[in-house]
Amino acid sequence: MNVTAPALPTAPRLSGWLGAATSTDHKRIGLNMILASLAFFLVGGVMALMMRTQLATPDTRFVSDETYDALFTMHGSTMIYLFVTPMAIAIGVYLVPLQIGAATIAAPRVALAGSWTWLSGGLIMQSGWLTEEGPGRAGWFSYVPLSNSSNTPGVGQDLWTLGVILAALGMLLVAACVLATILRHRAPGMAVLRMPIFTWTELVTALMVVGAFPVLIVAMALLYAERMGAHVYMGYTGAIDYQDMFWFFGHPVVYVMFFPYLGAAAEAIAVNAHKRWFGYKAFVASMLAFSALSMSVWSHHMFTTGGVTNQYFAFTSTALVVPAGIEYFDMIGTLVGGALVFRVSMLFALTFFVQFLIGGLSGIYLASPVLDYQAQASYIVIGHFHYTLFAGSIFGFFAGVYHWFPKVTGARLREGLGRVHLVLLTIGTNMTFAPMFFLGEKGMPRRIAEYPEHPGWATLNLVSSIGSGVVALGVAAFLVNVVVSLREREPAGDDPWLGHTLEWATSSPPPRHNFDRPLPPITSYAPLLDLRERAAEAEGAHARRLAAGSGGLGPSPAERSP
Amino acid sequence: MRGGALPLLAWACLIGALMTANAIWTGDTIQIESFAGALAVLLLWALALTASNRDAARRGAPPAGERSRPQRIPDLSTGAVGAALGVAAAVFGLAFGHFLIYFGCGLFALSLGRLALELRAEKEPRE
Amino acid sequence: MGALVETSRQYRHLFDIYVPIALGVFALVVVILAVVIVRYRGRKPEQAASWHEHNPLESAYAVMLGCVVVFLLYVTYRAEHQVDTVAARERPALTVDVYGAKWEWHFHYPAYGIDRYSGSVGHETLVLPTDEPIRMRLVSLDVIHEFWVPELRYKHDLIPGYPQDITITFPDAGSFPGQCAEFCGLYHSRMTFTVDAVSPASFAAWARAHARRSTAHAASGGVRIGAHVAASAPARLGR
Repeated sequence: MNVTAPALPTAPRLSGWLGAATSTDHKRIGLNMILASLAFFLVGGVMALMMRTQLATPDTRFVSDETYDALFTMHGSTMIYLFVTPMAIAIGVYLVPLQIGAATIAAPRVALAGSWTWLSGGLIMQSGWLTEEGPGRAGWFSYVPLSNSSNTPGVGQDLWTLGVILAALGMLLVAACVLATILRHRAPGMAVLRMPIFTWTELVTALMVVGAFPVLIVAMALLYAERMGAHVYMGYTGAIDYQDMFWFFGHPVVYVMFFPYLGAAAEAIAVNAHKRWFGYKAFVASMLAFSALSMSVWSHHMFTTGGVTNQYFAFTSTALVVPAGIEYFDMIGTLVGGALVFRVSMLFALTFFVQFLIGGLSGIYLASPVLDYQAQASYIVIGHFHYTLFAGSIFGFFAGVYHWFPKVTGARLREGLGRVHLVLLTIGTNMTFAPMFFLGEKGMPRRIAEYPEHPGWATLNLVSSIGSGVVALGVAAFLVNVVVSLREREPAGDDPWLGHTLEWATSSPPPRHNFDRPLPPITSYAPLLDLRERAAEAEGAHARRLAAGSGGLGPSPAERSP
Repeated sequence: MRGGALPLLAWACLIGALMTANAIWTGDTIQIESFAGALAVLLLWALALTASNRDAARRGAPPAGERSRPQRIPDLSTGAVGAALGVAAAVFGLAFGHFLIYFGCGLFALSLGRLALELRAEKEPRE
Repeated sequence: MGALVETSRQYRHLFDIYVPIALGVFALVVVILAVVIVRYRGRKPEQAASWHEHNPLESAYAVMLGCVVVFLLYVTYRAEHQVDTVAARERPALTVDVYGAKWEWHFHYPAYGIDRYSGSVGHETLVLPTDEPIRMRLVSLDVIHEFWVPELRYKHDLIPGYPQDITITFPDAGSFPGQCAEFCGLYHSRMTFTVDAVSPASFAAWARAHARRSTAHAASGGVRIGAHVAASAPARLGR
């Protein structure tokens, strides 16, 4: 058992907000980032609703062209830099030390500073809305030469660039701490190959962040210099180099926005099936392969430039089928033979797997250059990534929320409201994003503020826009659930679901240093399940001995096993 | 700590293989450079980890009863927050006004001082 | 020599492989999930099995997935070779220079001295012959644009300062919309054009008729590849 000694406070105790803002407790840091990310989600969501209002009919002029350009830029930027990515890292900040039996995160002050750097970056990015020309409006990937100061003038685009740099730097620091924690602070017995599934997904996520985010920071710093007058990205080479550097980050980041939520859904499924996750070794191998491959596929975003070797990237992108398929096999293997309970967390997790599959399959389609030559920059791509990120990852996120909310707050979320949330969100996301595949196939390009009256376009867009309203209702249901569940608490206890992993072996919420009692023996990636199975075996053996009247001579099989 | 460097090394091998394939197939300088940068970070990290504790490169579980140094981090760190906000203010000042750059650098410097004090207090022996 | 490469046919050929496979995989997973959910719901926790891996089965499955990847790559590379390499070797019946600038298209037929403009200012159709390879030389005069005709199932970037050739063929006659597909600023949505694909005979007649009238324009300084737009562009082109 290894619990580090309580920390020595050297600062005077700050109460309330200030204390929460400067705490070095990884749970507080994680929770702060989670709440801030959720706030950005709502902000980005409002932008989406505004765009869908504009696109509801061919003649709606809800916003000006310039505002529309700002909206799609800031919607994408907010969702990616300020919601899904930081959230993925933040849930790791909260949960990973608990899952590996550590008392704290590695270098808590670096994580704390990183979280504030990220938040500052987000606020600086959004501050562009207050400027005369508006915020960033060159798209969330901000290609040169469009994003230079002659084509997109104004301080708003400058603020966007600086905001991205700080947000990325902040996330890099935080993810580095998560990585260091996993590598250095595992409890005795917690071999790397006994770490929980969710922790493994956070490990490969942190590896990708550490490998890829520095390149984004360099690319954006050079872009800022370009905007200030330096001639950095010159001509054709400059344009292609920028894209190469941007997407070297831009592809791994979408896997950062996926793996932890996959891990959350996997944990929810295993616990609700009362069966440990199937195929652990294969899963670990596939996670390493999946994340490594994800670092090598990026120029599939550049198939139409003529500036990269399409065949290499078609190869690596299509190869993603193998690890992805392993995950699905493991998911099914976990369910088979289980005792399935359909709590809201389980329902979200199952829906995640089904809907993500649509996103994943459309991704393999896009990995083929000839197919991509049609689909690139069309609504097919928008449909694809919203299925992976929203209908996929965010459903995994909600599975994690319903699963871990009791651990974090001590109270359960309402199941009834949870089902309303799930149903509305499922209907809403499918209504919003399924039509996009058809719109893209019919030739609708992305990033246009208005569209012509081509056959079918108006109806499909209208359905999509109505769907976005249903999504908003679903999100509202979730917020109501949170408020109601915290106001009239249903106490959860330490382990309301018969969890498998160490976070369930401490109080809800956990104390300052996570474990104030001895850790259970760590015998696998599901130590609590091991404990229960052995106890059940011992009970069964004891009962058998009594029934056979052996008088308890000799050790039982359960007592003999190591 | 035991085995901590191994995931880094395993992943580095995969990245190395993909980089080699890219180099042969595309010969694209900026692509190879990006890969190489990532690979360098991984290998340096693995090296640093193993240098601090040889166990990091060994397979197996952290042994029972391994005593890690008690972490004497304070419960709060205004230094860390101040440093972050100082940098952010200075960066914001690049776009919005030089006074913010001075303010940000000042805040950063003060926060470094605060952090120095926090570190010194941690090193004091406990009674 | 063989038949002409048609980007739309290559796309449809791959689409007809990829999409049924995707639909089939999706249906399979959904059905398996439904069966498993029904079979194993409502059981007591003690009834849950404790087995949790089957590496031989999983390895075999991984190999099978690998075979799927190999198959997909095979059909992908075959199509890509046709569209990117074989098409480029075809002798074009016509060459068109395509200039993109915010937010207009300038199509120039060097053989005939014809210029057509389309986009935020006006909408002259791009007349092209069917059943013949057409070489389009794409270059941007400012930011990255993208030439997309959905009917062709094909698009390609226009990058400033670097002309790139593509080779396309229209198998069917008709009027087909075209659009800039790479976000290029404020009036990106208005950077549209229309292709009028007509029989080679009709095209020849059209070209002869328009060439006479446009030769004078060309002599007065129509844009040439490589020349910077500011010096010689007609006033309409550009911001």
